[in-house]
Amino acid sequence: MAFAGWQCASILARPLIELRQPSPMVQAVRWWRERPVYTRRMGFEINHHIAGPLPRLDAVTPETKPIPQKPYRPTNNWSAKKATFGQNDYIDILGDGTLHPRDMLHEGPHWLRGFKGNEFRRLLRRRNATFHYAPYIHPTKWNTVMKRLKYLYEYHNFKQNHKDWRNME
Amino acid sequence: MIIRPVLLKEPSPKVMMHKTGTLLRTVFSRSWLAESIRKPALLPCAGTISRYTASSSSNSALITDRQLLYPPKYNTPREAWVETLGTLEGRKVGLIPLHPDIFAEFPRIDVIHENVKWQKLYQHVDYAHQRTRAEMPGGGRKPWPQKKTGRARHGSIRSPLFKGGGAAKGPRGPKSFFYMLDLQNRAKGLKCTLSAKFAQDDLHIVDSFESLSSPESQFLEALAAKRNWGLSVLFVDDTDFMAKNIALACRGLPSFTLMPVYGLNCFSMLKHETVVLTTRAVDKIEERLKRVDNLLRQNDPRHAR
Repeated sequence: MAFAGWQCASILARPLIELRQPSPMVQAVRWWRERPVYTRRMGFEINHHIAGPLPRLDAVTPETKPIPQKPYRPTNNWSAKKATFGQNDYIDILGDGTLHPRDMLHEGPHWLRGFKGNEFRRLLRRRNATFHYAPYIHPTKWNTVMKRLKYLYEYHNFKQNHKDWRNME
Repeated sequence: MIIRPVLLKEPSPKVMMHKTGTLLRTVFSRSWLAESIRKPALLPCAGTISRYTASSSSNSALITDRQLLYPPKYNTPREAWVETLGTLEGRKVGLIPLHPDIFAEFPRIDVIHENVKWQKLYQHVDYAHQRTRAEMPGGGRKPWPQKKTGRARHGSIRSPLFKGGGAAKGPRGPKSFFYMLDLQNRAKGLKCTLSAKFAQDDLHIVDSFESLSSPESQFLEALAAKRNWGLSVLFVDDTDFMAKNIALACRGLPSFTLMPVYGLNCFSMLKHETVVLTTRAVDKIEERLKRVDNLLRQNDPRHAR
């Protein structure tokens, strides 16, 4: 319904005035139709295309080039690695009992195999597992690990709120 | 990895008779089961089934004399045809009982999902790593004076606000996702997956892989197509020395995988459309899984006497 100006007020108000009683239901009716129409977003013009799909070229000329795309290279979902993924994960159940999957891990550095923890615990484990060679073979990396450990020690001991037990980790 | 809904039927008393009057097969009712719990010697294990099937057929080479190592006490074994790989169409060479605790477990999809999630995660290592501002070189000098330049105040070019600066709260790899699922959940996952495959007719049993008559991949492919095995098949034997013909045939088919029993797992069974077990593999799977069952029952205080 289009806005008909201020004349609406008297038309709509008439029955309500007759029924006007001290009732919250009547008072809840605000005269929203009487509000003036403001001009919103003055001076704003939509400059981009909003009417459905973008317009197409009428004819393809030799100058038109397709949008560059990477060539489609489907992955091989049946490579030997993927076809046998998960093999021997149940070897402690289905095998002869001498092997366990946690003893057959091959992914990741040796100090992380069969271990899960936050950054602090990972660094502690790394330090304890590599202190006999890492300072001599990877001195810069070792210094970084030590520096980070020191930072995390300070963060854990002096900055975290230990009164609240939920923030222990 | 599509799991179709499984229709579970109530057991109904049913006796199938051959036209000659020989009792072919008996499916027992619940009331019979209740009696049989008191008299477990009458359970329709391998012996009874073999007698019925052997008498109804003139072929004496039928594989029907399978003895369950751990006979079920409270429920009846399921039955499965034994096929052979000699020809494209195949021939039923027997009918063997399968242990209901392993091949008729309720197919808990949540347990199967837990298992697959564990298989994907427990070996996963995330190597994503970003250096903090403290680990990057330089950045000790104040880039410009604090005041009078008109620019924002900064103290280091390695600040996280700077392009080329260190990362605040970035990934600190390598990070491990290792965890072990409980033994009972993993054993249950195997049982649920085997049962789901069996209930969906995606689990087939063959006498032996040595019965495959040709080493050609096309023959095995045509055999699988003829029997509606789908595009991917997982062949499971109890040994890791496979027969020559099937090894040569599977070499040219990437989605036809050979696997020993100790390599069997939930992910592979779901990745492949069909699982084909040899009778020896069935023996071994049942023995191993029942062994784990007994172990768990021994350690379970609820079963202590």
